[in-house]
Amino acid sequence: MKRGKTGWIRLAVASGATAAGFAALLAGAAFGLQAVTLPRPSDNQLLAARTLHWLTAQNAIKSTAFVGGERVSSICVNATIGPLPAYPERLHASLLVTGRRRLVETRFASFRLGSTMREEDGPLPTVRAVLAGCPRALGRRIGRFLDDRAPVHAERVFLRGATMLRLAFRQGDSRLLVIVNPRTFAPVAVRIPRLRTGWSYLARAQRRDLIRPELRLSRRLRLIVKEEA
Amino acid sequence: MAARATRDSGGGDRLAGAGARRSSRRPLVALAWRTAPASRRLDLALSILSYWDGAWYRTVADQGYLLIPGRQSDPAFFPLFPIVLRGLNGLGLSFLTSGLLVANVAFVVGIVAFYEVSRRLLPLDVARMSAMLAALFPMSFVFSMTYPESLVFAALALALVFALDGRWTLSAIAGAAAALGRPEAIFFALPLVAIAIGRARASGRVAGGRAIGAAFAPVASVATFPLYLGWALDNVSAWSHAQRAWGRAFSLDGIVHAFQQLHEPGSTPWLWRDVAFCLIYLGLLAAARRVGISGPWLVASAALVLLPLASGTFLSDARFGLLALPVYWGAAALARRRVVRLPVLVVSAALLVAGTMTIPLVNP
Repeated sequence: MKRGKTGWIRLAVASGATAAGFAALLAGAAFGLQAVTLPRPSDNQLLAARTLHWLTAQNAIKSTAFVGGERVSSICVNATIGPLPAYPERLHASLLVTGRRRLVETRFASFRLGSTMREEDGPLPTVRAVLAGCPRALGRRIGRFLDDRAPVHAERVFLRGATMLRLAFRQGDSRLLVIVNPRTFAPVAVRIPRLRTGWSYLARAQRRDLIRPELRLSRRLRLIVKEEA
Repeated sequence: MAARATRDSGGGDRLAGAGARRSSRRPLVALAWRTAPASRRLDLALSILSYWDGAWYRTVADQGYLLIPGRQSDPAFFPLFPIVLRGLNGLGLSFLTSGLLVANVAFVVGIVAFYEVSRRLLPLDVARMSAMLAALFPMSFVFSMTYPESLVFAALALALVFALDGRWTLSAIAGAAAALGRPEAIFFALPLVAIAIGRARASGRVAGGRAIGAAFAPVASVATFPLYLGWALDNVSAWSHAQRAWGRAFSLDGIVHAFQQLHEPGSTPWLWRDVAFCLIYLGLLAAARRVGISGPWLVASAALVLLPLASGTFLSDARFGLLALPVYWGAAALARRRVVRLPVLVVSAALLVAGTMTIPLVNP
């Protein structure tokens, strides 16, 4: 049977439409299968993930806490450290400066910086880095809760006259409270209830914060610790 | 996935941690093996098959997806395998048992279906040999692990058998399922189109809408995953974000990075295994031409082997290439002579055993 030009066009359009319809039907079924079978994360977990996203985009955070009625300010800057005898590759780290004290915190170990570097034992350095809002340390803590799909509770709170969201993470004994700005998801305060610490108030570091003399390292230390901010 | 991310990438925690846990666990595994009674040894051996990415698939099956910025997270893993695990878990099987059961049953189905594809395209002796080689290929231990490879292998082979028989609806369903298991399955849209056109030509008619629709089913199916992630996580590009945290970022100069990575200090020597398999796959594809495998099959398979390199690493290419079906036809073509056949099978089986022993050491 011979077809005219119009016949071919009609056939092509019909075939194309059938193909598209068939593929769309399958795509709909595939989407439906995923939507019906797989659980969705809670809205609060998604909020926490957004906070984490905000943190991963930061290189430096400044914080203020009240310890024994005294105001303590810190600044924390992303850095890299290494190579060290125990860690031959460069590691991502946080350089935390509180007054004249300087601390380098990594996932594996923490070091106090003086004229030389001394390894610090125990969990305290990491706690300090988390409370100072170090993007990597705080991000790691929130990330671990999310890795374990720990439940996240969110409630509205007022802080400095503005409505904020308080995210509460809990997994076993481990707890963390973070107050975030509901528009930007930036963390504005953090607290670890188990340690009975007060709130630490966080803000993005400005350029003038980054030129503090405490952040300047000696030439010898600069060979090991490199700031990223 | 992995090696580049095992270096401290700020987000490498989980895998590096897992890697460290694995390596510190190795002597314990050996000790447990020596002291365990025979029945417990079977449990230990089976648990090894659930190592590495198997844990991630179980997490998705149990808790769904969640993109965790700056860290390795599960949207990097396609949903078919977790969906099947979740279904079986609903019937009362544990995720681990379901994973092992699905992987191994699907592998048997896949080998039979692959033999049927081969039989329709090649002489019977080559078809039989290629099925045997697929079962005994040195990397085929992955098909027994709690990975989606065997499920995708079976779905792909079924999609192709049904297409060769002109059963387009079944082909479309199998093709769509394959693409929900691993994105590489979309490359097989190419041979599916070629089959549709070839069958239409043979019957002197135009390829029907259903045939074309079935050929594009894998593409349509892959597209639903980002849409699902957009719906579930409010992030359509969650997959590519997650891939980046795993040390994979597609770029034009990705292949250059893949070669550079081979010489980076601290890069795992296991990368050379993947390089070797990449070359073997390409060589076997060239050999597949000798038994008359047509261009679309070879192009799809070459893309499946080479495109992952554009993400900047050779890592896991040995595993990815397992789905390039013409590779086994090439191997069968080389082993067609009777004197070669037995040694090839014996060497392949020995390498398969050796490969299986490497599971606790390295991500396949």
